[in-house]
Amino acid sequence: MGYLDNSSITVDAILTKKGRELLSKGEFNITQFALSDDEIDYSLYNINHPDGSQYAGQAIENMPILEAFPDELNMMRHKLITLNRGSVKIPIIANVTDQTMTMNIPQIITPSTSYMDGQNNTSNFESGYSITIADRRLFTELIGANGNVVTSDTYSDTTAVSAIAKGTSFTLKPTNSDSLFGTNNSITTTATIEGLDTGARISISITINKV
Amino acid sequence: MAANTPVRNYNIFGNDDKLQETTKVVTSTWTNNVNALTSAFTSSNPSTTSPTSSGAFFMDVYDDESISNIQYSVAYGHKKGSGSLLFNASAKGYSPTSVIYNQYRQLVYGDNSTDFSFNGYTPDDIYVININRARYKHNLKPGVLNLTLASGSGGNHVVLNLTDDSITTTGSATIRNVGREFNLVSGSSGVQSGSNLTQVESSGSYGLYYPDSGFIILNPSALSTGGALSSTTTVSESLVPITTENTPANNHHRLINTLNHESSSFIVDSEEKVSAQYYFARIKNKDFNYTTNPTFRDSSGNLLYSDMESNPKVYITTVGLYDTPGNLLAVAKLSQPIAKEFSKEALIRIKLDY
Repeated sequence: MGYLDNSSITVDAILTKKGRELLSKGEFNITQFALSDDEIDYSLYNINHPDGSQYAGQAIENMPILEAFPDELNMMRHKLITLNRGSVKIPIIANVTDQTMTMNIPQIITPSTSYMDGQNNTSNFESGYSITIADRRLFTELIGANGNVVTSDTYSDTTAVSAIAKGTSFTLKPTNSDSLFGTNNSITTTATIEGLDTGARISISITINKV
Repeated sequence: MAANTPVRNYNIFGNDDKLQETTKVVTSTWTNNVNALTSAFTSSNPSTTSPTSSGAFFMDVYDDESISNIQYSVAYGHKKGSGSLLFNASAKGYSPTSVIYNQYRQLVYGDNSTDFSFNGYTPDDIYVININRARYKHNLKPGVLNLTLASGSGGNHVVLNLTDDSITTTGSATIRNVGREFNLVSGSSGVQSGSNLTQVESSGSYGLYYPDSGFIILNPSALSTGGALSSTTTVSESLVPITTENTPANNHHRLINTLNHESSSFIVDSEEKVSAQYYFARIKNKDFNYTTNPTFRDSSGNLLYSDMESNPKVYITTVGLYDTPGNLLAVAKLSQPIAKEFSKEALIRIKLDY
């Protein structure tokens, strides 16, 4: 007769850069957790495994996991979500495509979410979305609004750093200076939009044309 | 308008899901967790021809010949400034040794009228061993100090085993401005040999130990005159200080010699309180059974495997800890993926040190 395993899994956490920043300000207060399966490629799930279906996850379950890194923008990219049993669809961000903008002319992005309930319903709206701009030098304003989360910032940076806004729609005002363009007629950056309820995310490119 | 569905990608911690614990970690004080430091390496002798050079005040001691990791510093202090050059020959009493004596006296007693006294004996001078701050972390641990000073060879080979008296006194200490004060006595691991605190007749105890501030004050009289490390050995190896006025005697080099002898050894542990916050992520059977991972679905949002419509199976690799606005504050990775499905629950304990 063997012993029952009553142990829990223990893991060590590291602070992200944002965590360190808020810790130094005395604003560090963890209230919730999320799970992700970053690194997992579900095409490795072999439903035709020769030893039977219980071995379908063999390749994934034996995968060694890499250490965490402290960049909060590049961790937790694929979140596990809670849906009703029997769901046939996974929520995905809709109504957002690659954007082409013109210097100094604001443009509004209003994302929606398809299959939010795990079924075939489209064009639902979450309580909010976040948008992360990879290079905020290309914008003078980033406004998230029209929801219960509203953020607004203006920028005049000289180094390429990211910026985040939250809301149900976003107004992006491209730079009015052509100093970043050099000899190019356009410059491109990436934006990632994530649903605050579903964790669904999409990355788009934003191209700004010089005038 | 938000859809009325149970969809969510986070769980909120309850009050019972957080626990703060502080544990005391004891390690050897020396670099690379070496238990006993048996050598005392120094850089080439600093110039002491000037009373303002650092070598006239103290000397750093390293663990090996690479001279890269300072373990502790040694110094010699004299109340009247003897044993070192005067800053100005016309200003008697003002020299590196008087600076050292007054500095430690001010630290320990907070005034300039109380002299170092060793069980009633009050010498004019002191030796100091000051352990590097990075080495002793929060404080040195009383009761594990084993300081073996040695000198001479052959028939003049002398060894003196010193420790603090914290075990003998059951931890009772005098509290000074620099924290707890224990006596430095003959013995080992906090236990005094014999019962008389006056270790050398008419010279008092061997010294005082300040574990909270990481230094030891040694009583030169007990260590030399009539004591174990006296001039029965060669003068340079003894701890008998030269107390001639306005003379660069470099008495602290004598202490290094007794620490660098083939029979010398220095054992002391350091203590550190480490605070850790534990978070218990309780993952119930109905939670987190789907994923937004794009390899789990096709481009139309359909599950990649139709078998999973009735019994989805996902894998947890990472736990993210968030604040209420949704900032990712800390992140933990599992060593291997954990399978999650409707028939499974999981409890993950996340430890966050800071």
